[in-house]
Amino acid sequence: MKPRVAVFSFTCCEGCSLTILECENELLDIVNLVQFVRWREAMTETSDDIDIAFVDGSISTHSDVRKIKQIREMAKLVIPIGACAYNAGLNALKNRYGMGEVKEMVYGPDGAQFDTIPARPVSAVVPVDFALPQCPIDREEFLRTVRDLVLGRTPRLPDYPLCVECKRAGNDCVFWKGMKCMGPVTRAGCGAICPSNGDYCEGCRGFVDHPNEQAHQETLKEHGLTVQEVMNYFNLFNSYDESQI
Amino acid sequence: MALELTPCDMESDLYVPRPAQVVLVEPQTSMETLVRLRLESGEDLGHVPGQFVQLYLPAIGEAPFGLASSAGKPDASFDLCVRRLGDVTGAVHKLQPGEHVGVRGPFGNGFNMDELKGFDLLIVAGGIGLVPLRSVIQHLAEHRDDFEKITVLYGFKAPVERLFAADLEAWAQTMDVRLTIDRPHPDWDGHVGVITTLFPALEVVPQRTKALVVGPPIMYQFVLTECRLKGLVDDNILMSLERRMRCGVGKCGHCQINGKYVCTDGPVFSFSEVKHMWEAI
Amino acid sequence: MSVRVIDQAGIRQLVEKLQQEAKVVAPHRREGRDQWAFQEVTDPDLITLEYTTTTLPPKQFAWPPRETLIRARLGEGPVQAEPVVEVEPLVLFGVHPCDIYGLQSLDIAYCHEHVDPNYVARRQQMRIVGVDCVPDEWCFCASMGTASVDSGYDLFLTPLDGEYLVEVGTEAGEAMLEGITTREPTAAEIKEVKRRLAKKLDQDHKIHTDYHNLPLRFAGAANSPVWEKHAERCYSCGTCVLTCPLCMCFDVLDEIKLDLSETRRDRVWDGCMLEPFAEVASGENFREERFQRLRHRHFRKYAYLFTKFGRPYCCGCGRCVRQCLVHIDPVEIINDLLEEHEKGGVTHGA
Repeated sequence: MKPRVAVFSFTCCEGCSLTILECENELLDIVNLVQFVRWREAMTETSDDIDIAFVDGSISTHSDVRKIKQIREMAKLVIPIGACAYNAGLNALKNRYGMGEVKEMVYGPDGAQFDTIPARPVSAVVPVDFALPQCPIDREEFLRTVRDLVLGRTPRLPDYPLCVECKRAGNDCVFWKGMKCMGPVTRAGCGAICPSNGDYCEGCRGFVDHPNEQAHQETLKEHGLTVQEVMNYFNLFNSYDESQI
Repeated sequence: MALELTPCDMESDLYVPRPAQVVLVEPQTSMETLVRLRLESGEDLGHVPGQFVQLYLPAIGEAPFGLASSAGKPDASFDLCVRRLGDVTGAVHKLQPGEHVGVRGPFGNGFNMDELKGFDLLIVAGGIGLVPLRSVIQHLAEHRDDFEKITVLYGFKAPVERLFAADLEAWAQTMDVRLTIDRPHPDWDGHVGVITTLFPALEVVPQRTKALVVGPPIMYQFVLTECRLKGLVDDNILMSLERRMRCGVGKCGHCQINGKYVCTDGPVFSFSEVKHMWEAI
Repeated sequence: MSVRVIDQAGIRQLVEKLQQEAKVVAPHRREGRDQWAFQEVTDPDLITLEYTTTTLPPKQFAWPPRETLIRARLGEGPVQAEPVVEVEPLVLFGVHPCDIYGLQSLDIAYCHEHVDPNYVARRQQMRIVGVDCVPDEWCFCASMGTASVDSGYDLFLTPLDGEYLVEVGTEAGEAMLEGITTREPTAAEIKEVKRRLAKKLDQDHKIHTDYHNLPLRFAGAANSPVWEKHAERCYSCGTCVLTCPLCMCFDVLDEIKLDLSETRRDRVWDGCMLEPFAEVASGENFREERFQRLRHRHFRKYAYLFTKFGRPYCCGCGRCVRQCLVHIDPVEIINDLLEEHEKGGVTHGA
């Protein structure tokens, strides 16, 4: 019996579920490993009999909360995918404001009718079995995860900073090119895709388990950032703070 | 300048597992299972007690396991005994006789059995520490006349965690085997208490005794103290250490404890060596 | 072995000749702060033989950041794994003495007890043309005895005014020069090698003892507060170990094809500064704290491997501190330990 897989989306751009859909060369291999039974973006059929639920998006409405709890009851494994689901990602930027203020800012005087709550990662609402970070998810990491789950291997995320992958790729440090980078505190696993292509790391994979945040604030200041700018670098993808909920 | 080597130095198969087959699977407890293997070539593995192999399950990965049997079995088989802990060990628990695996090794120094000859031996096993020591004890049983008095102390948490029950009975015919469990249990009428509580009743002649100690990290410091109290010198206290290994052949660096590689300098060390290694226990 | 002088045109001629037999890799300038990298030569004129240090050392050509060790078919029947070694003839052109020392040191470690087939296969097909350099403020080769090497190269170039003195180190090096336009050096040009070395040995960035004393000095340094002092700002990002010419630790990954037909076992660069490095199956981490990892790295370089192989496992190239965003400097660490030792404030053992 192939594991029955569903894909659900919450508050996000659905770029992560789209990334799965875009695994065109691998889709045949994937459907040999698993059976997709529910996926609004890709199929009309639906089912409540689910082994693995991949979930993208943050939980940011009361109805999201109800729905993710239902999914948790239906599925044997719940696996958040992408920054929004993993650590609330960009969505968490709104959490520093009052929800009334947020609604008015976005929708004007009529905003009050909308259902919105501070954005939270899936794991803040229901227990999760594993999670894939990044904005959007890394294709290869997703494929390895599916394969490992089918084979009975425990999928794992690297617990070392992006600098490791940058060095393995032979990149020069982007700081020496005048850029600022979140790589030294960010969890590796993307293959240092941004620094390898002329950009810097924004930290979209979240932090390693024990980031040296103090050291990195000093580094960013040493390279010319103001305190506010330093906070902006830190907050872009990593501002979720339980105490704001 | 190119590196120059003679052809005999080359080890082109250093990282290549040899094909092996599962001969027997014998669950020991709910957590540990014994797997008997044989190289498909029919060759004997040719190991020394205390060495280890890297077991390879192609669809999962590779992990190191201490050998749990003596060398030179008539059917060229060898035993591993595996606690279910991660992916490889979980998959080992699902193996069936006839299935195919890969094996690299034997690796490591093992116990030098010749140096144990003529000594009284005090073997101290805590929990799954008995697994690598079984390779030693089997060897001793097979060459019983080469060795003097042999005492085996084996401590485990509860009766259901006892490994190698039949072996323990057989060994008791020619060796002094003493068992203990950590806490009283309705199914147990033997000795109760941590393993060090077996020491006061032991008669040890320190000048002609060597101790072989394998167990969880917490056990070492207490047992080592007891051994010293019995008058054993640190050179005569031998232990087998465990670390995460990747290559098994002294290259990857993972198993390094201070200046020593567990995979090539160990896994067997004397306490004289270990006491200078602050990362050891 | 002979000593000749070669001019720029001769260098070009030499590179083009070598390219007919092997892939030629040489330092090229890259964007940003002084950055160089060993890259395959497409146009000999783009090579920069006068450079300070490359980001990655040449170890990447003997031991790539990721390589496959074995491959095995999945499915029924006995496990049939086969070794995989991908190797091609290679010339490393323009290697500094410190990096030559680095490769020699890896040779020793990779051939000790067990000979690593993949590393050795590459090194056997590798030729090395060294080049002398001018140290920058991070180099400390003078302290490590690596400002010059007397072996480990086929040819060694020392810049003269617009030309290079070529020292031939091997018969292969002699053959490299066949058909290349060179001339006899003058006595003054030969002396230039010594003059340069003397100048090079005068470095401000230096350890305050003879490096032979290091294992002894480290013997009492396990509990020194120096480790915590310097580790406090450490990211555990591994930049120092990955860019080190003498660091050689690796992890292995089993990569199973998505169609489950085949699996391969790769090794990737790893390092003892990374947090999960000393974690064991039960989850326990034997070097959980940053200072324990920093201490291990330095003990490895200046005590453990030094004692084991009779040479420091540091070549003073300075890549670790040059690349470190928080400026952790082995020279400062060692000098702190020495100072502490002078004051007698060192406690012994564990």
